[in-house]
Amino acid sequence: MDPWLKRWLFTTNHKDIGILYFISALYFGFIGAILAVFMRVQLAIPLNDFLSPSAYDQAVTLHGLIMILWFLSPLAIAFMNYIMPLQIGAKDMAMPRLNAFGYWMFVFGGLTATLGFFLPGGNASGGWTTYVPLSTAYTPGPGPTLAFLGLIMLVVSITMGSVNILLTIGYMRAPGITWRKIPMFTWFVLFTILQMLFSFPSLLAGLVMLVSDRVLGTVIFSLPVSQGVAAGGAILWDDIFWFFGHPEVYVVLLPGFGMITEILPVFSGRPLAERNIILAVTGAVIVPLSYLVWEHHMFITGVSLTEDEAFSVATLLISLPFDVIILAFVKSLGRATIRLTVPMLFAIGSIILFIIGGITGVFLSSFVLDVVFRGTYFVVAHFHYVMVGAAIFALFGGIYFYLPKMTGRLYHNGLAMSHFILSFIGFNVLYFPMFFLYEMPRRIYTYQSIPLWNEMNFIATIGAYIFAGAQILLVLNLIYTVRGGKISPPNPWGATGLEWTPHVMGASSDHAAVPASHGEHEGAYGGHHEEHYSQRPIQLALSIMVTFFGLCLFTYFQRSSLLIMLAGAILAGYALWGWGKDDTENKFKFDEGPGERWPFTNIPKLRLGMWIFLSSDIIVFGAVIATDLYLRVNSPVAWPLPGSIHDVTVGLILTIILLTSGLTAVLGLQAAKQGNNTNLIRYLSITFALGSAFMIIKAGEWYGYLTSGTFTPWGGTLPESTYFLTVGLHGAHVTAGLVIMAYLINKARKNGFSKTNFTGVENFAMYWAFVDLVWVFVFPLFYLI
Amino acid sequence: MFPVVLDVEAPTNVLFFTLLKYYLFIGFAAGTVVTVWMLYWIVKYRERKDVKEAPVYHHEDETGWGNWRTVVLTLLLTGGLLAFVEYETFASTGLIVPPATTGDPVYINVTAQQFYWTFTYPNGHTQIANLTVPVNEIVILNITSLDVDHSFAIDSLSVGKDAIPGEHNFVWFNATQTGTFINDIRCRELCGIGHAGMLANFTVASQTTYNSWYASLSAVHTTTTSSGSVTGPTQTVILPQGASTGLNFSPSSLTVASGTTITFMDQDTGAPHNVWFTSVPTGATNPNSAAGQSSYYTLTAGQSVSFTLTTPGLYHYECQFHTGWMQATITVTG
Repeated sequence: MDPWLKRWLFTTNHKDIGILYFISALYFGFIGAILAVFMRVQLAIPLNDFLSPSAYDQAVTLHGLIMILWFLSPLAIAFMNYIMPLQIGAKDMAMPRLNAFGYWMFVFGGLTATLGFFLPGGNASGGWTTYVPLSTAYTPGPGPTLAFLGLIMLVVSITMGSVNILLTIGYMRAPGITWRKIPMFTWFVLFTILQMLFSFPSLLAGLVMLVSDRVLGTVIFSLPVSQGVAAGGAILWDDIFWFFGHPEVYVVLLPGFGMITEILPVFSGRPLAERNIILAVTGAVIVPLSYLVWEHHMFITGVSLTEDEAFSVATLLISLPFDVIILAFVKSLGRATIRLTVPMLFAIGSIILFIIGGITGVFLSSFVLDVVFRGTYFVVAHFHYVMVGAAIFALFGGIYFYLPKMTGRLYHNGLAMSHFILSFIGFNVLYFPMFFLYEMPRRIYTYQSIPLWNEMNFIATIGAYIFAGAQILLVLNLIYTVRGGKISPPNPWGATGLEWTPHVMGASSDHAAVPASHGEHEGAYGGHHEEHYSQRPIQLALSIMVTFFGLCLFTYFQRSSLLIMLAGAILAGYALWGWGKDDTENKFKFDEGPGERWPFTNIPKLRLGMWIFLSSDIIVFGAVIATDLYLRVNSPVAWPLPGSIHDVTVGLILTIILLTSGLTAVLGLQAAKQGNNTNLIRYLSITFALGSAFMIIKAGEWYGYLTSGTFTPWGGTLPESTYFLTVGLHGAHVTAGLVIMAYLINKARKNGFSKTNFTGVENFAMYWAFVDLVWVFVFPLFYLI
Repeated sequence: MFPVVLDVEAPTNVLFFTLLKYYLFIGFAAGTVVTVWMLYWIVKYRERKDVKEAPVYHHEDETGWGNWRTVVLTLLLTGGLLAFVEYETFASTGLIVPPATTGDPVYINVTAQQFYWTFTYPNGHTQIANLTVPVNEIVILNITSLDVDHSFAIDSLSVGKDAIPGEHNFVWFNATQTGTFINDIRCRELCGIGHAGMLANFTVASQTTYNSWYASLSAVHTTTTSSGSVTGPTQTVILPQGASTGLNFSPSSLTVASGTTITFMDQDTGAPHNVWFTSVPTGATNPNSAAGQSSYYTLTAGQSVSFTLTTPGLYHYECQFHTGWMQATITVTG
């Protein structure tokens, strides 16, 4: 294979992956922008027929999804990959292959979602909020399903990335980089990840249930009104979605703020004002409070006035730390020597736009004003000021700021300056008129001629042309920089951050905080050497894409769907087998060297990783079980009595088997700790046998339901839907545990574990205990009460 | 910034625009002060080619905590401003909660469907695409959806609420100016390809015009009976006069043999009611869906509805408009 191609497909190096994220994010941003321009053309004049209603709805939906999830977040993740490890002197990410897997899941997820445009019936068209039942029963077809499956791939990517980045910050800091010395951008990355970690699982749980409704015929979100008034699937989805959706706003915004905190001090020639206060309010107020304000997206769904008032106050409270941050930014410009370079201009532009976006956000925190503004262009204008104005402008500043670092060359200043000026003007011409359209509903594909609406829409479209056209200058500049830009000195801005030290560009280290030897390791850990390439991540991600493509066709062409899914499963099996083989051969074991690990000094890296992963998995199951309870309490039909459908005896046997296997798994861990390989293999095998027995009995039980026909996944009632979904999800976890056990037993037979090296077994034991624990909740819920 | 004009001097409009003015004034002032301050410093402290002096650092900036006193001060100041506007918001909940009145409000059911609004009046009259209300009277809308999420809004009155399947939301207003407002009612939640066209006109008629119009409507009989002639035993349940003010179905618990047809007679002139089964024995079809009834259908005085219950077990039913007290049961024996 061509070495160049091989490098970019199989790389596990954090800088390579950072660049891949960077280019892919811009690519998806380009798609999202084209969709946006289509919409603006359609809305330029009243009663236009440039787009059909269906095409417009698809454009509006995919524009939202792509811009937020495949452009904004990944652009930030590009910097998290490229810059963040350099800032803390890490040799690479904590888990380079997982990092690559996360990248490929993101790219293939995005391709999966956009592929929906080319399927019969088109893509998802229920808005990026995927409100139900519009996004379940009322927009049938394989395209929307495929888009939601692509979203699931993205959520998996984000979860992997979150675990990885947290471990990198926790374990990979160079000697001397104590918590006090962690740079600002890295702090903001940490805050961002803390929000991603617990908000995305809620979306994942929602999407799994949504896809199950679409493909398998469950009715969790889609019970027709005629069958029961109080089913309430619509409100349930709102809660699940916005529990993710509101923290996501800060997930998008905080990396941009982190970038501003890096840019401002460099170009104002003075330290950032109130650095510690910025960190304190972000970490202590914004992060936790972001999980407690989601209901302000549902002010007029009919929730009680008390709830409205409580969430309105919470929303106001969260605006206070932002107020502190913005004023700290402004103060950082006082008594300074300000150089108005392009990164600085973008940072300042971002602050100005955030002031407008933030203050109009306070308007929307009023549940009374929201009665009129809800679902109108006022909201559209507000969140574009925050998400495009504040976040994108800051990240664009970051692009120009770090471009000399990433390419070793200087950008074309004239082009960059024009890019900023045209973007700033175009942006405001595009979005400011929308504040005046506070009576025009969002997402309408056309409107009758109304005096104010006509002018404002026309001006906005002109702004869209300017704003979109300005982005061509960015692309031209990137090409110019890489091809013919002037060679940049190692530190063109006179910045003081560790990431600007020359060793990172290939020379040896001279930074005080980093021992001289550290520089030599650069590239030795997951570097450009061929032995650190891995073809497993891309294979595994591709296999999931293939499987999902098959899955979306399931309702329509069952035979070909099953064949495609089988092909995907085979490819996945091959990739996993290869991954395990690489591990058994210790192919990716590297000396991490000395570093700052407090407070995790005595905790193995993988153990913490497993804790983080399980904590996010708890949210997934939490959301699913909460859904079960909600639907049961609000069920319009009488719930089956205990024992009437599910045999309690069988349930008890299953419980005993699973709990016993939990015990043997722990005994296996004990054996591993003592270095007793024979006992380890013995206990793991017993655990495997018990786990298999659990799944076989489970399969027998399901076979009974399916053949009797009285209780089937396709039955379309709430008791059936919740049972099959919850127990199925648990079963999938058990199956994954069986696969891991097969790998562990194989490794143990090859004497892969020792007294000092048993983290694999330990992680499995933790995972298995979690699976047992979930069953302890699932069993009574469905069998006993 | 905004063309703050009241379309109509209705109470809801006054509440909304008064509140908006507070937000606009404070928001505009705060935003301008911060932005101008920032721009001023950028100009003042810009790099000057002619000055070679190194910038002057002030030690307190380098501690990382900065001048925390100013932070506390700004927090108090902005906190105060925010508390003020929030207080005004709390004082404006009259936009959402209807005022306590002496007179009888006009109740109208609003049902959203892809892609039109149906307005159902207390006498059973339904109309599409036009909401007609009397001037200077309190109107309460009961909004729901039969398919997907919609959001109901009357632009000229600054009121609105989501229409969600399975949920019932309320909007009140008091229109103070007669006239027909074209496309004044819009859907504000994406509900499918017809979302943009989900419009309705809003007509405010004078009291006399409204009354004569309302009287001229031929009441649509919403009485539903299960198909087929009644052959088995029969039973009657009364919705007594006074049910709208606290009386329950009579009798409130009933035991009948399988196959009995139960007729529910509405004798209450106070308000519309209905009979809605909330839980039925396992294996039984919900009588309401069997009869094809939509949620919040209405019975008025003199109307009746009948159901034949065959599956043995306990049936719970209620009046959806008065769930607080109108809840009763029927036990069907085998």
